[in-house]
Amino acid sequence: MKNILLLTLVLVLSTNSLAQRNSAAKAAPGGGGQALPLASAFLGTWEWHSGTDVFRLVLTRDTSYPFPNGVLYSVILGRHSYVKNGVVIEETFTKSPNTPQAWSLLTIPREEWRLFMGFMDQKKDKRGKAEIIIDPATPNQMSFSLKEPTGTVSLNTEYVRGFTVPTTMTLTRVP
Amino acid sequence: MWQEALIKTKPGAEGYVFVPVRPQLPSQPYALQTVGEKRYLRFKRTYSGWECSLLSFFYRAPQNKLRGSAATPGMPGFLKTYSGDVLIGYLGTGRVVLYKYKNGSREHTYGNGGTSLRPGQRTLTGNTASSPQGTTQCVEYRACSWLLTCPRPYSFPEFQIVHNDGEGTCIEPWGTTLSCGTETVYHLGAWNTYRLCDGGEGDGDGDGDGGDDNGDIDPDDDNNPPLPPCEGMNAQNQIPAFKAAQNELIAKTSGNAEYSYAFNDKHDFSTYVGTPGIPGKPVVSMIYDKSIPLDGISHNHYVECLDVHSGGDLKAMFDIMKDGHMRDDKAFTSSLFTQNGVDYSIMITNYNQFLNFGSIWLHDVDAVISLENLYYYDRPGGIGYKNSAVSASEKAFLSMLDQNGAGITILKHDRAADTWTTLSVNDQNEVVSTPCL
Repeated sequence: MKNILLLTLVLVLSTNSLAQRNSAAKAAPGGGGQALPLASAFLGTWEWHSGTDVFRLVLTRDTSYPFPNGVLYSVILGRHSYVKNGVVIEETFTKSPNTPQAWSLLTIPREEWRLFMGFMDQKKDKRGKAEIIIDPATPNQMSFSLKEPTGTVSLNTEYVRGFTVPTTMTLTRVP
Repeated sequence: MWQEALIKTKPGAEGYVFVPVRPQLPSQPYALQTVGEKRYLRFKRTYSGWECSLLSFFYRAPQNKLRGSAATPGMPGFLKTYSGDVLIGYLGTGRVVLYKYKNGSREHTYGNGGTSLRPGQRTLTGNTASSPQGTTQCVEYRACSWLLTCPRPYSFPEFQIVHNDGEGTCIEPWGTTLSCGTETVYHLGAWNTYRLCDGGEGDGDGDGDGGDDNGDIDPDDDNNPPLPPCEGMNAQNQIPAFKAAQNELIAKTSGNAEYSYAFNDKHDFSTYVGTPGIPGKPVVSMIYDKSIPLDGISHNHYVECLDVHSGGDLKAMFDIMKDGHMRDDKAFTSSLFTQNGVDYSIMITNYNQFLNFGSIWLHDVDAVISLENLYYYDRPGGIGYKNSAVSASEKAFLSMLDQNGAGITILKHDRAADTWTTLSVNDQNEVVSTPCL
């Protein structure tokens, strides 16, 4: 009898969790009263090559991504890899999809052709701010620039300068 | 293991049910996991109802931090012969208390027994320990707040806040873990020191049940209310060293780098540790002596920076608090001097709210990224909207803190008059200024 009760409890909890996950994401602020843009042109796989160095970026949409406060928002998530001289320097593709923080870039899109994405440098364990722009005239090219985020404070440690990946690149869409 | 439950009764209405908890898979609720220790769910029947707690007996010491042993491993002999550390986590409140047991009975300690505490006998002294006055029968305790998180890749978004008491020091609540088990990371927040004097009898009832725990000290008791922000800021404003740092930082807002000062209660400029940032980068390090608790931090923003405190600035204040480097959270200030001629200072006016806010949005860099994505965007209505007037950023910042119940009060500096004003948003989402008199 107790096992049945426990099983019922587990099923109820699982159903609630699933229902929450599938519910519509809350509208994020920043649309000025209008629906936020989808920025669909950014979705897909992108690469930058320089000799044997390769930066690969995959951007996907998650329409109900849970923020730390538990509210679901529609976001664009990114995973990346950086290969230098044939050696993988860092990558986030092999992180399990079920693993929290599997992404390395995140944003709530607020413009159709420009994204400001929070970036996590995996090796240096520091955040950055990536500005990604597509010119509508050349939708298969994307400029990528990585900057220090405004207002970073490090306590009792010297600030870690720079990033592991190149900070200025032009990426090309991979079919 | 309900079939192995042990039922104990006492004269009158009190009674206990002990339910052994077996090791569980990581996917199961953390409260039912066990790592290297015996655990029991204890249901205590009291005159007012049932109280549920989780008892962790450190039969095999996890991480070699806490330990104990028992002559008889099985129930009920285990409970009667156990000697060592027992953590009791009260599931109703999240509070965790460490007890010492000997042969199944809780050892005599001040503060454990429900009859040992008399409100008039304890004194809360903030984060500064003080010695007993005129008696050898006083024992000093610390009521400690802990933030529990998991390291990568577990840490998002799980966290838990627990409170426990330790004799003379804060001891990590090892028995309480998140889904990452023994990898749980314990961050010490603020603590309050209190003394218990005279006649602190543990109940020693010999039943291994932890006895009556009605006497727990609640660190949330508001015997030490926050200093009104204006009072704290006005006091700070009278300190010559703070003024000197302020003037220097204001002068540096026209440059291309951030600078910071961290200072303590000596109010001597020599104790202000100034640190330059990196030219052209909106970043700064704050270097200070960790052995001396801080009274405040100040820094500047130059032309490319935000008009108000960034997510990173809020995280710095949260980290100082949870790392125990804040001398007094009620008087601590984080002041910002900006290129637009506007200065702000933030103060914690509700410790628990700020702890909760920080536990959600500031506990690691990923959370800060989420916070900045949601609120600091460069579009109308965003805190980081570059084309907006300073007042728009200010309002967006106030609204963000208000919506999230951050427990922070913002003060704004009038450079000409050298006075401070508290800011808030009313129900109509209008900014309300209240001058500090």
